[in-house]
Amino acid sequence: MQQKIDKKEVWRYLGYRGGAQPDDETAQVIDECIGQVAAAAVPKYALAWVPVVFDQNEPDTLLLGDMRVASKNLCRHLQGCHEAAVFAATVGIGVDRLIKKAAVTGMARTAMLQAAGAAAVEAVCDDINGQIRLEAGRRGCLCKTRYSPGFGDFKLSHQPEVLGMLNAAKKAGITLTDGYLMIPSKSVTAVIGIYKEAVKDE
Amino acid sequence: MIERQKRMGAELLNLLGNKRVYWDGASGTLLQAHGLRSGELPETWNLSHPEEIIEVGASYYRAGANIVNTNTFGANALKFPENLEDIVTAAVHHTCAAREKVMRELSERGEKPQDMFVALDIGPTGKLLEPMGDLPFEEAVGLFAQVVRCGAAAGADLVLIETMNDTYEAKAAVLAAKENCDLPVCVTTTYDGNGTLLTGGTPDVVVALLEGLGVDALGINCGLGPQQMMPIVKRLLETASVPVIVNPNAGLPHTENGQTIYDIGPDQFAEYMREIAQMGAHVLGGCCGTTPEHIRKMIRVTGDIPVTMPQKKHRTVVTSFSKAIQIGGKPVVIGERINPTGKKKFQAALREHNIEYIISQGLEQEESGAAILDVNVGLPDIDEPAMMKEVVTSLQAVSALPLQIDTSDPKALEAALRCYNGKPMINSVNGKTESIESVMPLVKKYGGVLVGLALDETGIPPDAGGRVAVAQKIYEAADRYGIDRCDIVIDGLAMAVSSDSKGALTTLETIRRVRKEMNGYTILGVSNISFGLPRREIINSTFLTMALQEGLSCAIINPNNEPMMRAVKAFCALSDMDPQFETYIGTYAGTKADVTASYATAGPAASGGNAEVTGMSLGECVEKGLSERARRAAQEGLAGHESMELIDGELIPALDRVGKGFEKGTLYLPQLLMAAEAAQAAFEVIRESMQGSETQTKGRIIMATVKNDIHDIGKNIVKVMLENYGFEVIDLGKDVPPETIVDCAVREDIQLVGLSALMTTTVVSMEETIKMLRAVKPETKIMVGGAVMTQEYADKIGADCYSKDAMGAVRYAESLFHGA
Repeated sequence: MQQKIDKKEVWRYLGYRGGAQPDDETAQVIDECIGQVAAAAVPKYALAWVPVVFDQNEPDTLLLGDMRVASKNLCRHLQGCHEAAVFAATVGIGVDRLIKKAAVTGMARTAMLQAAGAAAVEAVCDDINGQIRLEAGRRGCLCKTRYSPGFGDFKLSHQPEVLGMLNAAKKAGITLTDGYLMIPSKSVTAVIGIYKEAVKDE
Repeated sequence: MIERQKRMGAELLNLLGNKRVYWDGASGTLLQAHGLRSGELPETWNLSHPEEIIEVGASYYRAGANIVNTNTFGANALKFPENLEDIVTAAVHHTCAAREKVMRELSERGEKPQDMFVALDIGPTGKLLEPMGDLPFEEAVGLFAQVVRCGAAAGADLVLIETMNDTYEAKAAVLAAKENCDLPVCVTTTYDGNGTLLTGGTPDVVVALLEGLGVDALGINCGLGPQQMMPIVKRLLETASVPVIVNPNAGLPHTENGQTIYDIGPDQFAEYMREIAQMGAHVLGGCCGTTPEHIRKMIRVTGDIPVTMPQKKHRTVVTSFSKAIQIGGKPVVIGERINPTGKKKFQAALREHNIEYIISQGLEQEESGAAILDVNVGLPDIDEPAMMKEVVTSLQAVSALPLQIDTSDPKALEAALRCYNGKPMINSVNGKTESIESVMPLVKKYGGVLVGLALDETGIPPDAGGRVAVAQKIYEAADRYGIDRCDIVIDGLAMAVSSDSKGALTTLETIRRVRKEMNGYTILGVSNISFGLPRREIINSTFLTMALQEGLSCAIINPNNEPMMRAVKAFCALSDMDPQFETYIGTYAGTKADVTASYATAGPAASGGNAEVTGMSLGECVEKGLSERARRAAQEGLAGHESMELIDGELIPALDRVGKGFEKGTLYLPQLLMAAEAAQAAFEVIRESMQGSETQTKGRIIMATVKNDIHDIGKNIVKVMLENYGFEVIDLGKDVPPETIVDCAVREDIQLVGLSALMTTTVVSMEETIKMLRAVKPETKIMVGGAVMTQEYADKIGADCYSKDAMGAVRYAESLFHGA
């Protein structure tokens, strides 16, 4: 099945905001690019549910499963959570190839494919998010919003541990560069806090 | 030790050729039962928990396995930079100790032990190789080589390269194994439910590539359960000439209370494996979720199934990382355009290191329907091996077509064969002893389908008999080097018919006789035939049809040349090679016979094309982002205007209008870029007309994405815009170390450097670059941009200018260079 991609989201990535829309010719090229990305995308993900334990001795530090994270922002975001769903998702290396190929001949399509790729992996994340919400519901719990390494003071250098705990290289083919960037480039890692209903989402 | 290893290696190869061989199952689950925590690296237990490691190995030998893996799946210098050697050596010793333990137990009970071997287990590095990732191919080879050397020295009997989901990484590992030990090498790769590797490889591709590299057995492991593997196993058995290994997971995983559980128990697993044995798989074992019990039961229920040994399949297959092209059925079109011979623009691109131009020639031919791309980058004054390596690496990043490595330099050939991700075609060897001795060992080592030119020390034989005799000589040489005859394709040599009127007939007879007398496949560089004659495509396309009729397997042609592609498509349609005329009708239904093909004489294009342009000025074409129309409008404009008039009067004002619209927010990025591309297309036409006269640049600017950052789209957008506004951009690429940028700025005396960073983490590299540049060349201005950049950030790290978009960069550059 082809990956669904939200056209409006692609437009937004390309700078069309506040109700702005591309003209017909541009919209047609964007549509073509969306079609190519949808055909090239091979969505994959790896997911794990891990306990969240706040360190009583060290401020702004918590354990996500076996991973120790010192981050004020993440601690605040996961306030009240006893568990977290950690996941890594990607649309695969084929989309990277598509973008690389387009870059040989022109930047306009490259930028459009890039935007479509970003929207595609967002759509995959939304699907996973939905699954997590269902599972949380079965457990009588609610979900916080997604939070990713690289946001605020949740350091990108946690990426090796995050991908390692998920076995993401093997399960989804997601690897890291020396600078902790993910390849395929249209990939996302995220933590979703799980909490009992009494606690309010931020 | 070495003698013993040789004996064990020979025994194993003998066993693989004659009996069913059983591999072990998973060790992770067993180690967890012994107390390995999740997140803990299992390889560390080789040093901290030797008894447990030995016990896990012993449990599989006890279950009846012939081959047990060492606990080294994740052992490489990236993960264990400090104690890799200790970890690998200990692991091999433990598995050897497990074997001795079980042998002792069996002999105490008076039972005869099965054949037992120790496999050095090698898994993926966890990094993706260049150019898609950032691990250089030779570094990957080096990482694997370390493990191989330790493991072989410690006494392993064979090497197992497993769970590979990238053919390129598998190739690096096989080369490392072959170059650093004499042990048998087996490889298993991991497929998706849809039958491909994560990086796109199919069973056909994987088999061709691995057999080309000379592995002793190959197969599939992990990812899927036995049932889901069956269609893939079937294809492997149809294509492979070496024994096929099947090591499935115990079904598919699900999570229960945070634990991964596999859904197939030992009995059910054994039943599926029985089916797989009946299909003809030669080596059976297990992967994730399987236990000694799974293996024991599997051995019990498959013991009575007769083993059919693999047969040579004699398939002639050329592949990229994802596509396999079989030679011998439908004629194969090989694109000839990546070649500098007689092409000034291409030669200039090689000298100026304009890789993009070369790559674009490849992509254009892919669009036109080439199945394979010939790659020739030989010029007397360039470093051909380095250029060959770069072009092959860049091409295989963007094109899925297999390549034909075309060179007479053995060093360039080896450079290309090494870094090629697939089984390439190789152009060429000939009947000369020197050629055979330099080319064939490389083909034997790296694999490939080799083009054999029917000429030798005595020159090109004038008649078909002489050419067939040379072909025979090449086949015999292939036999001596252990290259399968099906991996040879004979070039019958198309020579200019204008200098020998019987030349075409001689070539055609050669093709016919190679096919009939030697069962061989053939290839021709078709267009040579018309050298020296007018309207060459008339002769070429007819000669091509004649050659195809004689059974020509591969045609090296210009696929952008319509009459040639017509000949191929019509031939296929007429020869029952185009089912339901799908290709023919798909290409030509609804099209009209074009004027040029039927009546036109050579000369300027007919005026029909202009009608479309009329009514729209060059400026309007650019504003609307219509590249093709802008190109034609520029051509037309040049008829009545000076080139500078067009640039200053049409192009720049149009770009300015678009730029201003973008700045005001009435136009958006796609329109800005489409306009920029249309302007580029027009510039190209104008520049060609100006050749010879000095072109002035407004200023020279370095652009780079900083170290550790691989996002270069924003940087490339800025580059295009700057170029359109008349600046010369020195593009240093992405992930550029500060030293490279500083060196270039000093060497070229650059006044403006543009730096891009997308991540907060890489802004650090940006700051470092600015500091270094300030220290050495304080007068150079620096502009910065990128998703995380802000004015505040830019001030903090000491940049001269923050630009929020491409137009901002253009404006800053203009103010700087106008002011100067």
